[in-house]
Amino acid sequence: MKRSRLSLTARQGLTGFCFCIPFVLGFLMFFLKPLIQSLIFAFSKVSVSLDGYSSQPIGFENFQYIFTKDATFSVNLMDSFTNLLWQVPVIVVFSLFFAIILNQKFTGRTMVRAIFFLPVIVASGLVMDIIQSDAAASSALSGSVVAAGSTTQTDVLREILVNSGLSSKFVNAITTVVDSLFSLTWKTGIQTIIFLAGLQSVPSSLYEAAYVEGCSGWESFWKITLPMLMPIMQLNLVYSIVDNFTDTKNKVMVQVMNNARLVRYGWTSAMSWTYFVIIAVVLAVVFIVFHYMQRERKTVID
Amino acid sequence: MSILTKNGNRLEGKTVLNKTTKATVWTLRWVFILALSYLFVYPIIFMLSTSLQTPESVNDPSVIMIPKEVSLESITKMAELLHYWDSALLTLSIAVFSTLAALVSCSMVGYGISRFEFKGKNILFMLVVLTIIVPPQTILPTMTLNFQFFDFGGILAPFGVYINLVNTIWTFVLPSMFATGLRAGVFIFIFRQFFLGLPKDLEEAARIDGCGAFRTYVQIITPLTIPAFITVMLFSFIWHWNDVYSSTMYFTSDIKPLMALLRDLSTILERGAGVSAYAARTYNAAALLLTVLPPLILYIFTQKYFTEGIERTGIVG
Repeated sequence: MKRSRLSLTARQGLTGFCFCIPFVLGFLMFFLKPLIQSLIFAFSKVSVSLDGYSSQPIGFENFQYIFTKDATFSVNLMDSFTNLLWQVPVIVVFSLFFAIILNQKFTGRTMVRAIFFLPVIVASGLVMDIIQSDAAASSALSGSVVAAGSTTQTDVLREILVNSGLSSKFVNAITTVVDSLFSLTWKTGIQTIIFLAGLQSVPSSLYEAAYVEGCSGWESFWKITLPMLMPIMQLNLVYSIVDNFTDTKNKVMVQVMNNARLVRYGWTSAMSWTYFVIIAVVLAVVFIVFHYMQRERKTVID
Repeated sequence: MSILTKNGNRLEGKTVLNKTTKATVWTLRWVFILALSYLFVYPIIFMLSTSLQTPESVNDPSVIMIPKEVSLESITKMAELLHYWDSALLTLSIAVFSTLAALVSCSMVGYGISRFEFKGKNILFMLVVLTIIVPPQTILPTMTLNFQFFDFGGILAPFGVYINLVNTIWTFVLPSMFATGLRAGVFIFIFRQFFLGLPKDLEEAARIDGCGAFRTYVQIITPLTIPAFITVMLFSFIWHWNDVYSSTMYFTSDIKPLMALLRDLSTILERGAGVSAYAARTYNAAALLLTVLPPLILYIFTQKYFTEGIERTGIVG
């Protein structure tokens, strides 16, 4: 038998790379190629015929169109950005809260967990949209306020707040938040799971030590749980941001997909790239903020 | 506590206080849990109750939650309009085959990334993370175009031949086979975290005994990480079943994945004739029920793996 001329480590590395070959091929074929293509499409006029497609470079014309001629794109873009700013923190706080509840020991915990993870199973935004509009129709009909997410409760709230002399802009902001609480709790499934996994990785010896030192539960939450959960928090923020941006209800996404279905590939690509750049910037901000926070924490510990 | 304080009175006071706080915590917790459970269960009960009503009684204000007469009318009608059995079979085959493909490919990649040292490993992992972060909508239109004129990444291009994969399950299965399918990045990540937790000695012992790398992976590593495989399997199934975007883009015929059909629900109802806007509610609910029921049933039986398996995934590292 011929002896391999490669050293053991080199051979090991080669084997490791062999395991990754599917991904390398897939990445080139099903990720990088379409990604570059869509970047090219964003700057070209695309025509699709029965036996293929062709594109002609036209510079920034597509971008010019979507920003200056398309009536709704910039409005939708602004909308989904402001939605993101308040919805993501709400989702993350909710899911942290749920995870803390679910992490405690109590009888019936398995059952409760099963219920809390229902959104992961049923949670496609589409299903919720239909349920919500149906529920609203039903409650409007019977005059009951049972239906979750119906407009009835928030109408009452709005009346009370306006009557108490608050500015209508502020009241509107509050009622929008209250209105979407229902759909927001339904978006917490995965984040709750991730937080739960994070909570269980916090060593219990930390809590024991804090307890012996006379630390209250409230204090140990702020001093132990939260700092230990920071990496998870970052993961959840990233997940929520991507999830929020690609939600089926997101107006920009609706617009992008409608254009794609009408085979307007130039505009679609221009829109989705604009969108992607915004997501990338938001994610970059999150990463930078967390990076500095972590560094600060390290210096404090040192 | 008794170790810390020698004062008996104080100790007693402390326990009494503990009892009341415990009771408060208990009550508060259950109030929250019940309220939230209501929020999570309500839509499903609402859906069930609405879909079981007759189209006439759905607008009867005296009917709240419990239908006066149970009727399967809207469900059977909806099953017909959605071509339910064909569509469900299509959705099921997409979910099952993509999941199997993803299990094989993603676990292999996860294994390669986590257990070996080689140049560019970190770059490879960065690329995996990149596929998670880039929203699928950015590449979906061009992916559709690629599938319409599919040439195996340029291999067939010189011959001017292409295959049209649109409307076939290959649009889902093929990327999954190459570890770039729906949320494949997340699955690679989960596998990687699991494999990282295994002791290095496993492979060394196997190598000394003359076991090759691939055989080590199949016969030693895989059986040890069954929970990871189950978790990924369940998530992959559910996510493929619930996928809206890819299914709408890749399928243009009448038989589509159920989620793509739901997206066009109002058009289908309009075309389906005889469905008035007032009765639409019960039909909507019936369509939802038909779509959601299969994963829901799966969840009822595998709920343990979802809630316990996930904690062991070590997503957290």
